[in-house]
Amino acid sequence: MKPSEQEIENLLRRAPRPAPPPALKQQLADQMNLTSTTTAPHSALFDQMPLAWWRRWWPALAPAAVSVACAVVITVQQAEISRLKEAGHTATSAAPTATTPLITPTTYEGANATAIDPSAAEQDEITRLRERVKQLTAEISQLEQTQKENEELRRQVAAPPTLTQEEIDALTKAKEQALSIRCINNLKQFGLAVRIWMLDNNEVLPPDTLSMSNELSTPKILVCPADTNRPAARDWASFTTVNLSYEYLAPSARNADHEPTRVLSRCPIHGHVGLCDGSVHGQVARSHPEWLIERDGKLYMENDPQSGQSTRRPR
Amino acid sequence: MDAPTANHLAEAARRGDKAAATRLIELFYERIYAFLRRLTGNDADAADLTQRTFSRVWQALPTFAGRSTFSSWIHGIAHHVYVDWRRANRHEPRSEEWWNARVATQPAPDETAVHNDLAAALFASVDTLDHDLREAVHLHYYQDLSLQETAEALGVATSTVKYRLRHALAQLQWQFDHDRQTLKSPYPAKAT
Repeated sequence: MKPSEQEIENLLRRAPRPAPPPALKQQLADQMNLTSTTTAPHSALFDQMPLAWWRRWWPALAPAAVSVACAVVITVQQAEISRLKEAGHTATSAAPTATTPLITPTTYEGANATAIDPSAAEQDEITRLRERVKQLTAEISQLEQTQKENEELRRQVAAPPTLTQEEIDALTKAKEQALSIRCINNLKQFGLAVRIWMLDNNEVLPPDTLSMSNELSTPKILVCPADTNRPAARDWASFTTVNLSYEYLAPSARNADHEPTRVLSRCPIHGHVGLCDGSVHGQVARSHPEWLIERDGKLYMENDPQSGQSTRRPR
Repeated sequence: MDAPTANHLAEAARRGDKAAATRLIELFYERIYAFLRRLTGNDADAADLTQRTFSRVWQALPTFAGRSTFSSWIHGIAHHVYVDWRRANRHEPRSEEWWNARVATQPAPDETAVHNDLAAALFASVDTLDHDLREAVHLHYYQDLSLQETAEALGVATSTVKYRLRHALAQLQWQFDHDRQTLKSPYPAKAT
């Protein structure tokens, strides 16, 4: 026979309960050892609200108390804001009435005057406006005067300057100096291109200027800025000797590194010379032609004939 | 049960009220003795463990916070007292004769002899259960504690108590359905 689960549960619930010995209850009472807990006197509140209840519910009550406190604070703040807004509206509405009456000497006729004549206030307003118009008219006339001065200054600036002879000479000299510096810069680039070509071609200098089309950035640097007779070539395809101002004095030369003072290029206008070491010396051909010495069909620059070397500081 | 009353009595006893403590003894000593008597299997040990249980109750009463009912709290103390005693003495579960004697002494005018045999066999089978299952059955069915009180007394979750009770009932049913002498149970009991 297999009992059901319910029958088993019923049987278990009706299990016999063993009776304790008669003396056990008295023994337990005799052995009672109460350790009286006089920890803290319990108030009436604690008697009504057991500590266990508080311990169980404080995690929920604490956030609730904080929320209520926040709500109270927000409510108080809202009331304060409303009160301040109302005070602001009151002050705004009261402001025009405080500024409208204009007390002038014509209307204020004594310390005992309490009423203000409206027509006098209007008259005073008209007077004030007239003064304002006068002030604005003066400002407008001042602005017109300033505009006229500006136009005069612009006219003077636009007119050609009337320079003295000394100023003209100084300006011309400065222009020439600028052109000379640009020319030296061209020769520096020319010399650099020659050396680059030489490094790529077994220490042999290029046979002509056109061969350095890959080393030179543009053919425009081959025309001296002061040379007004030669136009600069737009590109290498249109380049001819007409577009070349500088003299190339060492075509296809070998071992140029062993002859650093040999003249590589020369400007016939300024007299600048470029040497094989890449340096450029300004106006040597014009101011010191004796420094240029020709040997074996080659031109060298030697400003110290005893040592046979150039001692001038190159550019 | 009158758990709120017991909790109030415990609160009064905690403050040193001897009358309240005496009332607590009257309310619980029979149940605790029965609980321990079923577990230990003899009167002397049950009486001794009951005295130890109440001794611990008086010592631990200041720490009784009231988070559980006093019934589950005192059953928890009794459970621990029994566990300590069992570890120290290594007692085996008692034999079926004790249950036969107990059932035979109970008046059951509406029950047949077959029913008494069935009950005796059932109670004896409970003692063969695993220790955890057995204590759950004792507290929930024999001591009439609720599931939550049983869980609090054993110090486990309520779901664990439910699982143990279902496991115990299934094992008891299986034991009735099979010959325990020849077949092996799928719910092997741990050595206690």
